[in-house]
Amino acid sequence: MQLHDFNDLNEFPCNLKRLCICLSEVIFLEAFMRRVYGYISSLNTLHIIGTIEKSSSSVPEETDNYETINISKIKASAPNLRVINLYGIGFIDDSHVEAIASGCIHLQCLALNYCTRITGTSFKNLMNRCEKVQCLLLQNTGEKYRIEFDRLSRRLQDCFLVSCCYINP
Amino acid sequence: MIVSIDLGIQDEAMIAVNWSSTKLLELDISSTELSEQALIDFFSLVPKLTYLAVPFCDGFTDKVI
Repeated sequence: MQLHDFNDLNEFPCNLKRLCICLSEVIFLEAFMRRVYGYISSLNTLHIIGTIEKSSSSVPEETDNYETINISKIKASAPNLRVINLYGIGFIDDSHVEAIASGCIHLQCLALNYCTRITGTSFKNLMNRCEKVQCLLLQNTGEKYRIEFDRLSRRLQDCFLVSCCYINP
Repeated sequence: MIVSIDLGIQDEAMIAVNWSSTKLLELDISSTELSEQALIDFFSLVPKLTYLAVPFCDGFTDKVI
């Protein structure tokens, strides 16, 4: 899909109030979005659904880094957004919230559930710039990792021994 | 050796906001790692909330209530 240039897409509804985009881990939406940016200034509500459930079964470090959709361009194209719901998007961090804060002064509700890279450093600017914000949904934005190095080193040792057995049976 | 790494919303970031000048009405901090002290500081500033969700928020203790 990312190889498709969407040149044939010449029409798009221009008075949309609500838009929901479901992301993939690897498909970049820029080619599609480039055709759509000019039509989304009327949006009030934007849902972008990330890949939180999909990436839990794979290795998150490998998949979550791709910014498959450009939040800065969206906020520049849709300045009338009242509700922004970013659900389970692995790459969203405070820089994206800063971008939203700088462009969406009418924002009333921001949902960042399961966006685990958020640390909150952007909240000060968000609440200062977007004075109409009434609703903040931050469920599961905290994550605690416990790394047990002893167990890790034992596992590595086991792996090493197994590898050696294969090399020299 | 065990190393704990906390990601997610940090106490300092939450306290840095001047909540008293905001119009916040609804807040969901379920499953966040905010501390008891950060929540006490937050609730002393925040205007009247009409909706608050705190499941699995270990820092939301009796003292905070």
